Amino acid sequence: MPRDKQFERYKATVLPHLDAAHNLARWLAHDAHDAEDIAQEAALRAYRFIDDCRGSDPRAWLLSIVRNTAYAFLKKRKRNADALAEMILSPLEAPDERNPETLVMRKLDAAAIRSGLDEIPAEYREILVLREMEGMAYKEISEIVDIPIGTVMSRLARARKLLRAQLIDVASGASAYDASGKEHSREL
Amino acid sequence: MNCKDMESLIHGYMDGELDPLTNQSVERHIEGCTSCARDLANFRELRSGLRLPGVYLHAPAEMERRVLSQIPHSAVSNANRALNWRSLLAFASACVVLLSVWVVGSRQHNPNPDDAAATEVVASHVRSLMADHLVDVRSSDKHTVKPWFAGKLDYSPPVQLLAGTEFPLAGGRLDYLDGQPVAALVYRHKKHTINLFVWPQMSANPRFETSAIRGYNLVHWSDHGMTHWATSDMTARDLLDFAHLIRSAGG
Repeated sequence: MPRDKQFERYKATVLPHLDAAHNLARWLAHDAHDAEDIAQEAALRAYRFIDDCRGSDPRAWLLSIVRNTAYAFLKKRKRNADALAEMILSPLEAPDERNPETLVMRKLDAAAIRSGLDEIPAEYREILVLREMEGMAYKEISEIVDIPIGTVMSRLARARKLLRAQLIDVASGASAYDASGKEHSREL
Repeated sequence: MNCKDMESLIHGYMDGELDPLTNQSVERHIEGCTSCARDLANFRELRSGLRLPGVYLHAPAEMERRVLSQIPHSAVSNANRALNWRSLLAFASACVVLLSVWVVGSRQHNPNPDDAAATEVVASHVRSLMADHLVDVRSSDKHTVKPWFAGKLDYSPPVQLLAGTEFPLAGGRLDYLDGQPVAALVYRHKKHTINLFVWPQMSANPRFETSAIRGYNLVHWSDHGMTHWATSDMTARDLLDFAHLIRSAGG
């Protein structure tokens, strides 16, 4: 493809999705600077390989590059290497098996959601970003994350439960907080 | 349908991913089950939460400009860049050739780095057969296999189909060789499996170098900035035929 044509195509198909690239990078990397580096590197890779995008949805294609770039970046950084491996490789036990009647969600605001999302493992975080923030279909998600469609559904199930568990006033919370929401004095 | 079934189906339901029949039975269950109805309400609330302003983290305004500044897009700068890049590549390959002549001449008794690569290649080949992890993307279609590597590698490996030959493409896989992720292309020949590993390397030695390790034959060559290692348990003669086909298909 001639370069100027390649550039026009890139501008029309990839650049509109920089927000999506940044959002996914930011949720995978936590850190704002890292997220910008990852999104930018992914965008540049997308330019080099734009020929490969033919026939696939540009946003999904870009996000799969972002995802690979992010994991490669995080691995390379070896920042919190063990924590990362744990996050990616071993799914947490859902702390969700309490008596369902006690599950009352807190009032949800953006800050609560953000901190809840930050607490769950990356494989669940990314699937919520793709499904709820990008509104992607299971098929697109299965291509980006490279898992079967059935696994998309079960992973989403777990992801939503894990996030909910972060956002409920848990039974143990009742001992730390009184009815007015003030923390009990720790003095005995 | 019971509550256990609902654990994941409820998600397919709220995401509109179920077939009409399943959808209906899920709906019916929720109507009669307060606990599942509450779950559904919870998850819908989470969804609205995740869509609140301030959760989606938009790219900073200057990111587009920064990306564009790193992309050579004017016709003039492209021509220059391509020219410079090509001459640089030519110069680099000349250097490598000179250097390798010197290295071969001066260090004949040292272990050849290619020996280490060959050992690694055979180990990967054997591993791919044992672990039943031969292909990540199963396809005889170049336009499926090649895009699959995009984003998994920072280069785009050449993929030759070899349709109509005795060596059809079976698929591709991501492997790890020479300290980096590499493309492994899998071909079949009768009952044999061929692994072709491809990764970028500046050396240019289009001549076939053959070797054998532990009963596996190897052919190694480099062209167009890529190094190729083909290995299989088929005869050296057949493997060389295969290498000829790949190299000539690559132009």
